[in-house]
This record gives sequence, C-alpha cells and structure tokens, in this order.
Amino acid sequence: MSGQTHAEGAELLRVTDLVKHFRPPRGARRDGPSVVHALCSVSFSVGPAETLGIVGESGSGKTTLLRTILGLQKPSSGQVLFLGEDVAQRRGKRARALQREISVVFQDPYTSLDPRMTVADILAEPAQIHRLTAGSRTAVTLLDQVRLPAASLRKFPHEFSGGQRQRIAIARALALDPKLIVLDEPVSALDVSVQAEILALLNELQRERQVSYLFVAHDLAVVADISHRVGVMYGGQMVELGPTGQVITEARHPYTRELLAAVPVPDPQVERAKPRMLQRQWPTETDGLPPCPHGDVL
Amino acid sequence: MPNPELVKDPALLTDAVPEAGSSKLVVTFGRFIRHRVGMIALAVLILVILAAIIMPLLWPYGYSEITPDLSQSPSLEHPMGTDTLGRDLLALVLRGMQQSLLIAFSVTVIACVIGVVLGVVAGYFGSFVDATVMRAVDLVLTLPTLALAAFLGSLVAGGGVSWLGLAMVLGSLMWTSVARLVRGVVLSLRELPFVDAARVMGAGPVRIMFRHLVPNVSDHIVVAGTLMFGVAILAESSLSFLGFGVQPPDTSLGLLVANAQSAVLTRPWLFYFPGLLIITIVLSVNYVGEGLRDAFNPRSSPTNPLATPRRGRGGKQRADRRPVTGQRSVTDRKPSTNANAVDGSTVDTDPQAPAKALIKVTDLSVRFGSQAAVDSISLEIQPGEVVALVGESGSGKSLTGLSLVGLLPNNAVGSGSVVFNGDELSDLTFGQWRRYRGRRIAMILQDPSTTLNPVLTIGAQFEDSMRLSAPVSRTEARRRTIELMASVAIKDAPARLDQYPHQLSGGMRQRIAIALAMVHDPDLIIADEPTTALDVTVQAQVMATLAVARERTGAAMLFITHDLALVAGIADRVAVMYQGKIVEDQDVFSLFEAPRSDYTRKLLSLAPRIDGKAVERQ
Repeated sequence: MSGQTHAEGAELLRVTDLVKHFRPPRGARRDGPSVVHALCSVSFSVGPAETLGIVGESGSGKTTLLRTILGLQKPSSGQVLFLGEDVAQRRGKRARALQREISVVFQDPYTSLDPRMTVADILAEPAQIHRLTAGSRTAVTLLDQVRLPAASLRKFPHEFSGGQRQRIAIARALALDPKLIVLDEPVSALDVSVQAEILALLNELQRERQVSYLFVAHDLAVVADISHRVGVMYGGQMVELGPTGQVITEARHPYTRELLAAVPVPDPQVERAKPRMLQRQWPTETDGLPPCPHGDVL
Repeated sequence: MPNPELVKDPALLTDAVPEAGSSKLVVTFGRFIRHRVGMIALAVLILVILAAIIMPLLWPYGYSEITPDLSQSPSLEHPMGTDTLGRDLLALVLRGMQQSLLIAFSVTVIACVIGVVLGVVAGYFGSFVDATVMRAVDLVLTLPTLALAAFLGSLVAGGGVSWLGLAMVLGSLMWTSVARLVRGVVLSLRELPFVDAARVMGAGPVRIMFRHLVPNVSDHIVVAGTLMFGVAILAESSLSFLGFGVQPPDTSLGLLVANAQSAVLTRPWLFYFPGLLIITIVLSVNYVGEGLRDAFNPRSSPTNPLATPRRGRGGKQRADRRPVTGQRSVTDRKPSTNANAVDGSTVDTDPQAPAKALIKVTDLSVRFGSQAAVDSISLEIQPGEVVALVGESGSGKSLTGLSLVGLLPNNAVGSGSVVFNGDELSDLTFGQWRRYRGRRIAMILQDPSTTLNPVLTIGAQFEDSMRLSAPVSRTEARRRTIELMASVAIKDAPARLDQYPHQLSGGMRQRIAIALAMVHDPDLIIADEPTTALDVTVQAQVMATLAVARERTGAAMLFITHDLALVAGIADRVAVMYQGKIVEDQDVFSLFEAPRSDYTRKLLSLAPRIDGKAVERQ
C-alpha cells in the first residue's frame, strides 16, 4: 500500500480487503445485475491524529464503506480492525467501548439532529446511553469547543443555521472523547463560506485533541484542504491512495485527474481556457479497474 | 489551511439563521390559537367537560333520583324535562356525559397506547415483525367492530358492563388506525441520519423508539387521538343504544337516546337533548383535531398555488416607511410607475446602459412581514449576457430569481419593477404570466430529482412542454426532443425518451432539465443553483453543457449560486449579494482581479482550491 506514513503498531483503524455486495430487490433484478458490488476489496488504515480523506462520486461505495466501519452494516467479507481488534467480533462490553471510541458526523445537519430534542439533550445523550456521568464533558464545554454560546443549550435544532447545526453535530461527536470521528460529507450541504469555517474548526479540534478523522466527500478540493492522506474511490474500489500532495501532483487514475480538473478555479482566464468536458472523457466500462476479486461469490 | 481567524470568530460570516425564538411547541400553540374554528370548538368542548364534572355537584337532582313529576316537558324546574319514571333529564344527561366522556377518553388512551407501541415496533424493526403486526391489523380490520364489541360486551356482562370493561373492548378494536399511521411515519423517520447517529452512539432499539421516534410522531398521534375520541363517543353511544354498553340504572348518552327512541313523538325532549349533545361533542372534537393538524403542519392546509404573489405598494421610500405586513394583493396598480426611474444608488450599474436591456429590475424588494429579504436591488441583463448572482443562503438571491418569474412564496410581499423586453412584469395575473414563464423566461432549479414529474416519461414531459405553444405530432415531438437531448450531450437519447426520471442519474436529470428549459428557445434562462446537488465531476460536466446549450440559443442567463469560483468560467458579469443588497456588480474579469467589496474578497479567499497549501500539508 502506498503512502503508509506511520508504523504498523500505531494504527488506529485498519480496513483489510473489505467487500460488500447487495442483492438488488427482485423487481430491479430482471434487467440489472443479480449482485451489486458496493465495495471491492478495499484496504487502508488511519493513524492517530491523522486525517484520511476519501473522495468518490455517488455510487462509488464511500457511503457503504462508512456504514460498514460504523457497524451499521455487516461486510460480506474482509475485516475492520480498530486498535487491532475486529469490530464485527466485538460483543458486549467491548462493543460498548468501541461505540465510545468512534463517533460520526453526517452530511445533512437538518436531519442528523433529532428535531424534538433541545441542544442540551442532544449533547447529553451519548453520556446517558453509556451511563457516564463523571468523565463526560459538560454540554457547555462542548459548545464552547465548537464556538457556540452557552445560551444555545435550551434551543432546538431548527433555530440554528446549517453551519451552526453542523457545529452541534460535531460537539455531539466529541462528547465521549472519541479517538476517531467519521465525517460523512460534513460540509457538502453548506455554503462555500460556511464550509471554510467548519473545516477550520475541524482542523483546530484535531490539533487540540489529537483526534483522527475519516473524512469522506465528493469534492477533492475540500478533502485536500483537511487531509494528510487521500484515497480516491471509484466503482467500489480504492483506485488511488497516498499523501495528499502526491495524489494531487501525481494522479494516476483518470477519475482522479477528472476530479482535479473539475475543481473550479476562481480565475476567469483559467476557467475559460479549460477544455469543455460535456461528458466523462475516458471509457467507464473497463476504465483500468481490475475485476472485482469476489465477483462470483453469490 | 483554512483561515484560522474564522475559527475564533464565526460571526465574521453571517450564516443565515432561521427565525429565531421559541420552541416548536410554542409556535404550534400560537398557530392553534389563531385557528378560529378550532378555538371555538375547544371552548365548547371545555365547557361541556367542565359541565359534566361540576354541574352534577350543584344540581339538586341525582341521576337515579325519582321525582313526582312524570314525563314533564322542559320547565324552569326541570330545564330538560323528566322521563317516564320522573327522573330529571338534566341530571341524567350530565351523568350520561360523564360516562360517555370517561369511556371515550379511556378508549382513546388504550387504543393510542396499543397503536403507538405496535406501530413503532413494526416500523422500526420492519421485515418479519412488521409483517406480523400488519397482518394483525388486517385481521382486526376485517372484524365488524360493533358486532364484536357487542358480543364481547355481552360475555363480560354478568350484571352490566363496567365503563372500564367497555373501554378495553373498544380500545382493543380501535388501535389499528393509530398503528398504521405510526408505522408509516416511523418507516420514513428511521431512514433519517439522526436515527443512525443514535445507533452509532450505542443507543438500543428501545431508546431509539421511545426517545427519538415516538416524540417525532407525537403530533400525528395527538391529532389521531383527538379524532379517535370523537369516534369513540359514537361507538360507545351505538353500543349503549344497542343495549350492549352501559347498563341501567347507570346511563350514558347513547343509552339515553335509546330509551327515548320509543317516545320520540310524544316526549321528543328525551331524544333531542342527549342527541344534540352527542353531535356537539363529536363535532367540536373533530374541529379541534383539524385545528391541531393545521397547527402542527401548516402546509397540510391547501393554498392556491396559482394565486398571484402579493405586491407591496409603491417604491422604496413608501415601503421603507411602513411595513407592508398583511397587505392585500394589489393587482390593479398602474404598471411601471417607477419603471423608468433610474435608481441613483444602484451599485456600479451604468445609468446610461443601452436602453434595450432584456430585463431591467428596479428597486426590487421582497419582504416577509417587516423583514426585507431583498432590499431594493436593481439589476439589468442585456440580451445574450450571462449574469451571475452570487451570495450565501439567506442573502435573497433565490428570491430575486423567483421575483423575475412571479413565483414568490405566498407569505412574501414583493415591490418594485421588473421590465422584460419593455413589458412591466410585476403586476401580471396568472394567465398573463403564462406568456412568459417557460417560453420567454425558462427556469432551471436546484434539485433535478424533484423538478421532473416522477410519473411521466422523459418524452412525455418534453411533449407536454412543446404542446404549450403549438400543437405538435407525437413523432415530431420525439424528433425535436432527441435533437434537444443530443444538444445537452445525452448519449443514447432515443432510449431515454421512454424512461422515467428515477431511472436516471442526478447529472442526467439535470441535463434533461436544461434541455427542457431550451424547448421554447427562451430569451432568458434563470438557473438557480443548478449544480449544488451534484458531484463535482458531474457539476463540471453540467456546467459545460449549460454553457454550450446557452450559446447555441443565444439566450441571456441569470446564474444563481453560492460558489463564487464556479461562475468564473461562465459569467460575463457578476453581482454579489449580501443580506438582501447587491454589494458589488462588475464584469467577471475585473471582479476576480480587483474585487471592490470586502465581502467579495472574503468569499474569494474562502473558495476551496487545489494549490500549494494542500501539497505542503502532510
């Protein structure tokens, strides 16, 4: 694997040969494939206090990858190791402990917070679930960390703007002092100006708390802005993985190059000189991907 | 690295905050109070309930007390008369109300509890559990409720059914509607990220169901419960009427009606008073339910989508002086009172601009109550020109776009003038608008998954649009559609004609939307965040497609977006909007080279881009 920047022992999360296929519902199977490969043998790792960015378009399998890591789905094969221990094998107390170590921030701040709970309830919930009183951070501290005033506590999510709601979601993710925060398109639903704020906040939190991020988005510019290493997913496979600078300067896969070209440049001269790509310019059927190794499992 | 200053002071940028203030419950309560029929019904209901509780304590006659006055018509002493045994009817009715209300209340509680629990369990777990519960619902629904209740009632009845027994029988038969409702809502709720978020935190099913799902269904439950209360009153009355409900000497409204049935001609008061009460209670309960439904979900009450948006009177000065809240629509205003006035305060627009502007917006404001979302802006677009309108959410950019086609939301009041090709547009009626919308001015909206009609094939949607201007044959329509689709780089166009929108990807749908906008060769295209919902790579393709399609028709375009960098390649001129005002308006090259306003500079500095920074950071 390219771009391994940390020692084996220091790994926080390791994903090996992860495969996930779905059987489409019977109605759709008639003219479609009988099995859909959402993930084809994906492997990578995340180190402590590191940000791994994953870029991919819709349908590239990035959401499936996240859901599998979060334990919301079971992999068809392969392993997700957290601190050397298989996530899927954990039971009881160990599983509970894991829930404290990994938290999540979802894309849409309008639906990821329970509309009927006040901010105080939302921030207290992780501790309640794990029956922690001491050691858990108070809601005010959490709000302070995401630069929201303490007066927000008694309000409901709908009283906040998109960017503020995403701050609340980040505060909730920090509540149990996790080692890894999974960020699923955390800024795609926000205005460009607000995106910058949230990215800056995430960066600062990482410096303060040494937390690792698994940051997933479809926009390479956003991912590159925050990640130490970047993985590019296409068609359920990790087609590129390496340090951010390397992926940007030495892009090998045509999709990565397309991603780079797609980032709008705030300069009319440059933009107007770009060739107009009305469609994907490279063959998408074979596009240099090896066949999915577990293609005939089902 | 992003600008660290931003972390310190998020207020540097105003991220649009929705109407600040009270919790959802308070807002809902406020809406209910303004619901006149609901409030009257609630008052009647409270009066009835209070009467049922308090009056028996004050009224001199007991409900089983036999007076010497047999079969008296209403008099001062017996306001509702007496029955054949000499019992005072008012005392009987009060007792009957007590019993009926008590039973109906218990039925509602029992049915709601059963229904909510089964509904939420079925909806949350789905598959096998869901199937079992839903089959149980089907089974209960096949039973004739009243007949079964009567049967069960007669079994229980050794010496008369207690109110509790009756309530349990009815409740266990009436939970199905609540269960179905709750299940339906939960099925859609459980897909929402906040449920996933709770699961990732480690919340168990019980917590998710009762801490997250049930509170979010509560408004539906309250409404359903209220309506069920009315049904329960009727069910209890019917059962008692049939003799399977409350047994004498105790009484209920239904039993009183039943007893009076034989004497309806000779002693009609015995029939009318309890009957009218049943009607009153059920009607008020239903109106309260309706009021609650409207209060919880204001959008459930239908409004006329064809209504002409409201217009404020006059121009800037008058609008500024007094808020135009609640103003009625003024459709008879003389057109273009200020169409020719050149607003001196217009930022950076040349007052001597060629007179043949395709669209000229002067002094346009859009207000919600006393708040101006768009604050007297002026803007011109020349024929064939591409103007980008850039701003963050809440800046008023989308409302500006909607104003140009007269599609402001119902609670918005617009004022100012919009002149299109020399015609004043701001006071058109719906019928007059049809000459412009879609034909001369086309619109492309943000979300291609909701702007296409999901039940029509792509071909049918093009055909419909073409028929607006002239009758066209099926084959001709298909030929033109294929041509249009080819012009927006859709591969395999003939095959797409018979597909439905859900079979296409988001990028493909947006291409179709672009092609649809081109059907009538419009003079102006308004594109409102057309690529925001798309992946970046698809965004680049759709932008290129849009540029090519526009050049082909030579239409002017107003391109609305929050992403300043995005417009560098497509716009001739850029207007930057901030808090309802246009803060900068100049040609694209000067704007990116030398932005004049601080806000524009800030936006430029924030655009995510791939450059040296990212390469260094490792």
